[in-house]
Amino acid sequence: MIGLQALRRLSNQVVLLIAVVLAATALTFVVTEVLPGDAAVAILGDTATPADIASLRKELGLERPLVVRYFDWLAHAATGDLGRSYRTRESIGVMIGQRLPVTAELILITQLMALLMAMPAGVLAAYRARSAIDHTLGALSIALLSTPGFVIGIGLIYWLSVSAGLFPASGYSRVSDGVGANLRSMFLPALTLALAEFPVYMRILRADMIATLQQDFILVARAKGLAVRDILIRHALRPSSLSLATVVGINLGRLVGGAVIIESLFALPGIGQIMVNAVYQRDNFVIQGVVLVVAVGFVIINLAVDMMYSVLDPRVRHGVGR
Amino acid sequence: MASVAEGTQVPAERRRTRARVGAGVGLATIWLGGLAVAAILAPHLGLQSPYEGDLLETLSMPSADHLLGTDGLGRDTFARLLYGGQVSLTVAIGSVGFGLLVGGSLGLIAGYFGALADRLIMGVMTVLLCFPALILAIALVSSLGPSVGNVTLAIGVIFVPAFARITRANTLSLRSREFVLAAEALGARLPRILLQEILPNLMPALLSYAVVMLGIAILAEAALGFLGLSVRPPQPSWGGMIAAERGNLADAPQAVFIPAGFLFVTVLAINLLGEALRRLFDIRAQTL
Repeated sequence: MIGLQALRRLSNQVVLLIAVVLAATALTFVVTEVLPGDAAVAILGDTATPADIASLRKELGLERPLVVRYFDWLAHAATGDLGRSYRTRESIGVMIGQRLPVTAELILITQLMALLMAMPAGVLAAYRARSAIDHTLGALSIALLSTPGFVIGIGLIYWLSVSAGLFPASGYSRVSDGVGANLRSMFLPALTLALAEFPVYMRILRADMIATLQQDFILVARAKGLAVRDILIRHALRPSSLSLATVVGINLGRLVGGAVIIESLFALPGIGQIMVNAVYQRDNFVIQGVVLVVAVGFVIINLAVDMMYSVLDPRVRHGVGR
Repeated sequence: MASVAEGTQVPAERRRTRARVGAGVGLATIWLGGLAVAAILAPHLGLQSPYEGDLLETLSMPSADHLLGTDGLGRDTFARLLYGGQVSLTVAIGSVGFGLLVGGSLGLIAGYFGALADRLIMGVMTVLLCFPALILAIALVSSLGPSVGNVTLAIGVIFVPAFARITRANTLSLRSREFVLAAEALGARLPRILLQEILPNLMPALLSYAVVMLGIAILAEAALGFLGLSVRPPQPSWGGMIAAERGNLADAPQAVFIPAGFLFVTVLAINLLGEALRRLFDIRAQTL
C-alpha cells in the first residue's frame, strides 16, 4: 500500500524531472539565441569582417535553425555527449566533471555548517520564544540577512586570514594535497555561505517548532514526565523539520549557481567559475551543459527531500496531517 | 512546561517589544529617507567630485576634508557613496516595480482564470525559478551591456516568478469570496472585478513583500557591481567600490568596510521596515 503510493509519487517526479530539464535547456537555448551577439562574434572580436563571421558560424554549425540545433544537442546529451567548448575545444563533460566535485564539496560543507548552527539556535529560540535569547538570535538573523555574501566573505578574510592568519585568504587545495589542507582552503568560503543560510534555516525551524510545541502529543510527552531535552530533540524536532528539509533541498540546488561570487572571491575552481566565463565568452554549449547538470541535480535533490518527508514525519507516511 | 507552549503574553512585555520595534522602524525610515534625499540632491550639495581624486591623498582615513576618507585613487568616498546610492535606489525601485507589474499581472490572471492559463503561466514560472537566478542576471547584463536600465531589467526579470506565485496564491483565496461572487453576479466587467475587487485586497501582501524585495534588489545590484557588471567605471556603484578596494584590505580596511557598512545599514533598514509591515499584515504571525 505504502509501496504503491510511493511508486506513483516517484513516477510523477520522474515526469517532472524530464519536463523541467527539457524546459530549462530549451529556455537557455532561446535566451542565448535572443541575446545580441553569438559565439562567432565573441571569438573573432569587434574587428572581424562579416565574411569571417559568416564562415566561422558555418563551421560551428550556427547557421542552422534553432530548433534543429536544439534537438541535435538534446540527442547527443541523451547519450552523455555534451559537446565541446567553442573556445577551447575541450570536452564539456570532462570540464564539468573536473569542476563539479569542488562545488559539491563546498555546498555540502556549507549546508553541514549552516545546519549545525541553525538547528540548536532554532530549537532554543522556539523553546525560549520571546525571551532575550530569542530576540538576540532574531536580531542576529536580520543583520546577517542584510549583509551580502561577499561582504561577509571579505570580513572573514580580514579577521581570520589577514589579521589572525588562521586560514588561506584564497585558493584551493586538492584532496590529494592532504585532507587538512583541502578542508582549510574550504573553511572560509563554506563559512561565508553558511552564515548567509543560517538565518533562513533558523527562522523556518523556529516557526515550525513553535507550532509543534503547541500540539497535544507534546503535552502528553510532558505529562509522562519526559525530560525537556528529550521532548525537544526526540519528539518535536523531527516533525518540525519538514519545511526546513524542503528549503535545504531548494538551496542545495540554488547554490550550484549561487556560489559563483563566493567561488570567485576565494578563487575556487568550481562549476560557477566555468559558467561565468562561458557567459562572458558566449560559449553556449558550456552554458547548456552546466544548466543541464544544475537542473537535473535540482530536481533529484528535491525528489530525495520529498521521499525524506515520510521518514521525518510518520503522519505523512500514513496519509494524515497533510 | 508553560514556556514551551506559551500562549498568553504579559501586556507590559508586549508593549516594550512594540516600543523597541517602533524605535527601529523610526531609525530605519530616517536613514532611508535621508539617503534618498541626499542621493537625489547629490549634485547640489557642494560635495567633492566623485570622479576626480587627489593622488597624493589616497586611502586616507575619515577627516574634515573627506568625511568618510578617500579611495585608492584619492576620490572622496562620501561623494561616491551618494552617487552610488542613486544607482542602488534606482535599480531597486525599478526592478521591484517591474517584477510587481509583470509578475503581479501574470499571477492575477493565473489565479483568477485557473485551468489552462494557470497551468501554462505557473509552468513557465517554475522553470524560471529552477534557473540559477544570478547566472540569468549575469547572462542578461553581460550581453545587453552594463547600464542602470539593463541591470534593472535583469534583476526585475528574476523577481517575476516570485511575485507571480504570491499573487496567484492570494488571488486563489479571494476568487470565491462573497464580494467577488457578488460582483460577478451583478454582471461587473472583468477589469472591474480584477482591478477594483481583487487587486485592493492583494495590496497588503504584495506591498510588504515588495519592501523585502527592495532589500534583495540592492544586494543583487551590489553583487553584480562586485563582479563588474553594474554601471561602468568611473561611475560609482557600492558593489564596485568594495571590489575596487578589496586588494587594499590589509593596509586600508576602512576603504572596504565603509562602503560595506553603508550597504549593510541600508539593507538592514529596508528589512526592518519589511518585517514591521509583515507583522502588521500577517495575522498568523500576530497570534504566534
